[in-house]
Amino acid sequence: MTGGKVDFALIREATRLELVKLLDGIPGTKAIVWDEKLAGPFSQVADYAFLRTHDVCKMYYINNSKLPPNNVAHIIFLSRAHTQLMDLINQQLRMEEALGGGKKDYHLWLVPRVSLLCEQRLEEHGVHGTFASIRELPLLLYRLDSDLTSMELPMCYRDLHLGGDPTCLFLVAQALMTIQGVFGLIPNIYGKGAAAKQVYELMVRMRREMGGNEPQVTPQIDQLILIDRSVDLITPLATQLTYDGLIDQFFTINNCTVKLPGEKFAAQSNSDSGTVDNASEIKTIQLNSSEELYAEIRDFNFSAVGPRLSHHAKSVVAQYEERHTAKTVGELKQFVQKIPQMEAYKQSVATHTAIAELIQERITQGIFWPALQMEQEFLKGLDTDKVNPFVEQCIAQKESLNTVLRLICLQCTVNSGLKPRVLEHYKRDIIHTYGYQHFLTLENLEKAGLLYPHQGRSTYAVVRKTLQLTVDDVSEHDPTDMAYVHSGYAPLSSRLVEFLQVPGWRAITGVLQVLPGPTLTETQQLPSALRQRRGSGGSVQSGLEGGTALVFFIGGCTYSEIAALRFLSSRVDQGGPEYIIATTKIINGDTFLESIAEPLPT
Amino acid sequence: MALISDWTQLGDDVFYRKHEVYSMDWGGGINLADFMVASAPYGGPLALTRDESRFTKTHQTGKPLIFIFSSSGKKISSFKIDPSAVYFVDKKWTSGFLLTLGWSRGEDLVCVQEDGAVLLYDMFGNYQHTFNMGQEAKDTHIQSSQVFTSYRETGVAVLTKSNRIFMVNNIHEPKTRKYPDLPGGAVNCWCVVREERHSNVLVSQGRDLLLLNHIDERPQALYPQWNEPGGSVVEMAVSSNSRHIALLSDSGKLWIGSSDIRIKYCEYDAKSQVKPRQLAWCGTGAVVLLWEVTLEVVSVNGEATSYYLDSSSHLAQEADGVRVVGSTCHDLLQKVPQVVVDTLGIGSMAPGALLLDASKRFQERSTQANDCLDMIKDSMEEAVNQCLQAAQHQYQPQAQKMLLRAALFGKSFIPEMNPEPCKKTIFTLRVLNAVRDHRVGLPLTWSQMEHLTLPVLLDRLVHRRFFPLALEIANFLKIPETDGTSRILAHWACFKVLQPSQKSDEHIAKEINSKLGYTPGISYTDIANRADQAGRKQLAIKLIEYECRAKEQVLVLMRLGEDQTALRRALQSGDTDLIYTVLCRLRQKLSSGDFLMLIRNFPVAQALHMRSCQDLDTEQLRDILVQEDDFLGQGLLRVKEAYNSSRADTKLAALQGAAELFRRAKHETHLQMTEEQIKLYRWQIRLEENQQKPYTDKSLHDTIHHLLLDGQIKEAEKLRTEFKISEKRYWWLRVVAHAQAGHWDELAALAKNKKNPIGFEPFVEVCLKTGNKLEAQKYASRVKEENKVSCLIKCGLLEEATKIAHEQRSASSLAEVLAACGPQHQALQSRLQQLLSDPSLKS
Repeated sequence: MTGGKVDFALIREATRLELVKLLDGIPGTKAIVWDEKLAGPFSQVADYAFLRTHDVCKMYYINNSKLPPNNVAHIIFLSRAHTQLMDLINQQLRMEEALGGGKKDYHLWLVPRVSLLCEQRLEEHGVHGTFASIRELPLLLYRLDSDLTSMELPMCYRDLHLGGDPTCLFLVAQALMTIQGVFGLIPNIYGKGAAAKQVYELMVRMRREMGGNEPQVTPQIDQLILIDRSVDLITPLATQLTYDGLIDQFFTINNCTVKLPGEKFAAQSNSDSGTVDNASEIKTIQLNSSEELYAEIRDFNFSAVGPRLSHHAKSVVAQYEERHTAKTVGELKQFVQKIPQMEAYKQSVATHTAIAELIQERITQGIFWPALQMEQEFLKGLDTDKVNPFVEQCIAQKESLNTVLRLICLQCTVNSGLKPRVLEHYKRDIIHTYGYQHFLTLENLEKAGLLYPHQGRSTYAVVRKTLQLTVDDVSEHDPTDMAYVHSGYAPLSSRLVEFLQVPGWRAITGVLQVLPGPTLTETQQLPSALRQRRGSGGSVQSGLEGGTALVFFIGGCTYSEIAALRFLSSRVDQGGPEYIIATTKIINGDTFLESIAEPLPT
Repeated sequence: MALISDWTQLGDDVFYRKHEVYSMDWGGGINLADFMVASAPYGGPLALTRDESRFTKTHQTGKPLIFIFSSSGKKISSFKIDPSAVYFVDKKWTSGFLLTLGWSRGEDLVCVQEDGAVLLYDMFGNYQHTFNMGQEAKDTHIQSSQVFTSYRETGVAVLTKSNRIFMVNNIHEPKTRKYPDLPGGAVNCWCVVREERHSNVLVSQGRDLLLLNHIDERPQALYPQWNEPGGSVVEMAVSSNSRHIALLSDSGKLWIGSSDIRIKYCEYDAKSQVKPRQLAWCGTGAVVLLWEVTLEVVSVNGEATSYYLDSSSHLAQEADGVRVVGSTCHDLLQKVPQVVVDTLGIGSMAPGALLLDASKRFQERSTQANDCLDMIKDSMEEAVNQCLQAAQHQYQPQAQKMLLRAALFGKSFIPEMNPEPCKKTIFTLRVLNAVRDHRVGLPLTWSQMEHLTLPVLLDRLVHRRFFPLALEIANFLKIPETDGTSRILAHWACFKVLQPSQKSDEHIAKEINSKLGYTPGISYTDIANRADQAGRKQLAIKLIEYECRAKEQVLVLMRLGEDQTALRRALQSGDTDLIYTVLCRLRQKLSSGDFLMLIRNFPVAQALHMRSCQDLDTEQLRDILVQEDDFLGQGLLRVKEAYNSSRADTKLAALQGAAELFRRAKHETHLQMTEEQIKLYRWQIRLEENQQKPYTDKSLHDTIHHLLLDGQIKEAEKLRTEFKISEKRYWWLRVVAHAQAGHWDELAALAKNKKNPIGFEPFVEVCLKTGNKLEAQKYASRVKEENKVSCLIKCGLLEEATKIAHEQRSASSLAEVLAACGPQHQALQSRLQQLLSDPSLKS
């Protein structure tokens, strides 16, 4: 996907400029000592080749071992602003000093900002003065695609609901200020949920703090829609059935790459794309929207992926067959010229066929289908108020705990809590089967609002009905409704976004009241100079009917929600806006529950 | 013509004009001859102090009283040099004799004392700082000194009584430099000649003229070309740009030339043996000698003219003229700029002059206007520019208006002409007229203003506390807020907080806020800091409330010791880093108990603190939970401990502790589950002892499973009853375990049990899972009717499945079977299709 009007690549460019400024501010050879957690996402901003052109010739990691000997002039510690990391940096610095590394300059770059707490920690260690410079690299958003950016904060929901730690809200607000710095002030802000409101309030504060130094950029984004994850806890618990969603659920996509078991790819390992050493090894695949085929099928319901792939396979064959029709030398030459392109296409079809096969295997195995069926019944609101025999049976058979918890939490969420007796029964069964070490996880789930005793009547029925969350005859192959992403269930969050445009939130006040947290409808006054410009043509609104809307998920979003919003975007001709999406992290049922679970002692 | 009535010709086409800029506000009572006077350039303030040397030769008794006036003679302040200020620097201070007054570039008053102490005051008499010209100067005392403008700053040079010269080039970074020693003997006079980055000193001693710089070790003798050599220089003056010098000999001869003495411009005989009161340059074109009541102007060409004054006066040298301050009036003497001569000079045929004439005629409605215009048709733009420039150099608004009118008249004939010069002239003249006003007293000329620049002018106005005027000018000229309005307001606020006031701090803070609002670029932090420095902490606290940058606000609040407010503000900002910083400081400052009590009131702070404790300090966390009577929390903490302990006894103790706490928290489910875990754990320990197999850390389910796998059905039974495991689950466990262990007989025996609560589906599934299709088939026909078809399919019994589906007359079941058919089932497939075509099927 190479960008509508608003492309997050601009944000990446801005970050890259900051980075270059920092790098070029230090003349001479440099080594970067990475915070390991940053290295992955950072590759989206600047890869090694890029860094090399700026005199970075060595890369190490921040850990408790000493740095290898090197002859660079500057050592740069590139780290997130966490005190534990400062402790490690201190250790490494000490070891360097013991080796007499006095000739080098040491620098510290903190992402996304210099934290007083970190500086204080360094001062306590007595190494604050050792650094020739301490700078900040305001890297908050990692571009995943032209319309998708993530803050890579997997613990956001947990921090908010278990730790009472609002740090991520502050960061989200800062990220939004960054976005506004690049794309201009966003005039209309909507939101649902407590976190949405807090973020908005922080944005107002930050805008005031900036005083008159607001960026003079013509607004390119018309709406901001803030969605607090706690408004829609159903969607992350439901099984995603899009291609992307399934890849993520089975194999986990990280920074646009997925690691797959290698055996399926062994046959094609002769071609050079990807890295396969051995058939039994892991194969790493880049999932990149610049690959046409992937861009086409990524948001398809999986049942439509197979037919599409076979269509492409046929077209590959057809393309190769053209060589027989090539009679003249000229035609032959034309054909030969097309070969590299065809090879890439063929490779692409082969890769995705292999992935699809892997997914197909997982789907037919185990309890995927029965669990999905159960889940769909829950989503329809059937029999959610008593102990579910299927879940019971899953526990009895000691199926994966995540699946069990996912189902129970889903049941609990759509039922607005479980009857104490039912809840107790589930809890006891889980402890009996999976062990007491999950006791705290259950407690965490309760705090996180996923597993709790009954509180009043279930409101799900009215929400489901008003927002048409379940659609019976949804077409998976030629979707006319976003519900195709879960084969019959439309993500609540995405429906809220859809309803915001038509018929407007005022029409669904009943539902908004029932959903947790306040509803936000605000406008931001633009600086007068920009207001005039907007009015006098060249405006965002007149350029494109529906304009652009940024949907920001606070607490993570799923690939199914992304697919649903892209589905809405694809219907711009119907007057809706084009959506771009930002999230604290892309999640799925498993990663979401794991982020909440109590880590077990190893 | 009135405009040129004050002109005096001094050579070919060179005119000087002298006109009054102010009549002095101080009235006629001051005889300047009795005072030591220092005037600041750019129309700056005047400092006066009684020249004691004129009255007695003894040391002064009291502290010298200094008066500061504006150029218009309005008193700004009066104060005594306060010895206590010096006391800080030099504890052995003895009342120093005030030797010289001077002004710095920043318009601070520089007072040089006989003992080498240099004191700086602002024009309101507020002590700024002080420094010393060095030990030697202090020991030998100073005979004379000069305050001069150096490369970028203001410097001080002193001549000690032992004939040594010391210099400080920048009063803000006082580094004393010693100059080469002079031979013995009285010094007639001396002055500082500034060069690019350093300063030389020119000394007249006896009949010699010596040049000293700080590089050479010896003074260098200079020999100016006198018509009659042999005299000694008694007075000297350097022009404001340091290029030219005037030397006056004891015989009254004035030598004018370049400041390196190499080029002589002229020599003039003043015909007076009396030493003038003052010698100064008027711009760069003439030298002025001031006697008691006579002013003699000598141009560099040797032409001269005299003016008579009505009182003894003081000369203030400017870059483009000289101001003559008398006891009743203040005059400006300057060379008439060439453009003014061209435009206003009698009989001038310059385009500007003709345009002016045309404009006048036009206003008189005379046709002659046309004749004049005809003459300058081709040089209209030049004419306009000349009129504009001439207007710039006029001091009287009427004259300015007349010339501007002419310029605009001319401009109307050239529509394409750039309007900027006109606009700039008009705007700047308005500003100049405003600051020249009596009440402000800044007699700036156009060229001075150009040189000074507008921001500096605003600073000077702010410095003089003309805040409203400065604001008006900033708004009038549309200066960006950060350079204009907000800077001025910030200065005003800083001034405001320093003023003693009857009003409450709250009131002052509000007043400041009402004026400043949230103007961009205003830093309440700076203002609050200023208030704090002035010892007004409460006001600072009130002011910092208005700071909108949370980080600055919180840091200042912490510095002011307002920790609770700092915490509150940090919390409001949502910036957790800031919150942690405040918490850290509070923890250091307060006792642990006080700290915990304090953060109780701030849930987010408490949560953050607990979170940081979770990683670092479990005991502290427990303290908080105990303090909060949070039994549930304590219990959960205990559970965590149990997770992390590897020893059986500590684990049990932690679990028991947890159970007790859950009991106190009245949390039945938790209690029950924990108690069960204790029971299980004990049981497992016993099993381990008996069987030498690992059982601890296994779940109840796994424990029973393992027992069943080992065939210890009795033991499993016991556990089942003990833990009240439901029939269903126990059956499940048994089915799975038997199948896994391959105990098919046991499984068959179990299947015979009539009380089967789970049906036969699990039997089928479990058998299939272990890969035993044959065993599975045994149970497939015994499952519930509705599951029969799918079970049979799973077992591969498609024929039977078809049969059952047909019996059930269910289309969906038939379809299910059909879907399961492979290529080897072609016969069955066609039969199924045939069956499916039966319209009487249930759908």
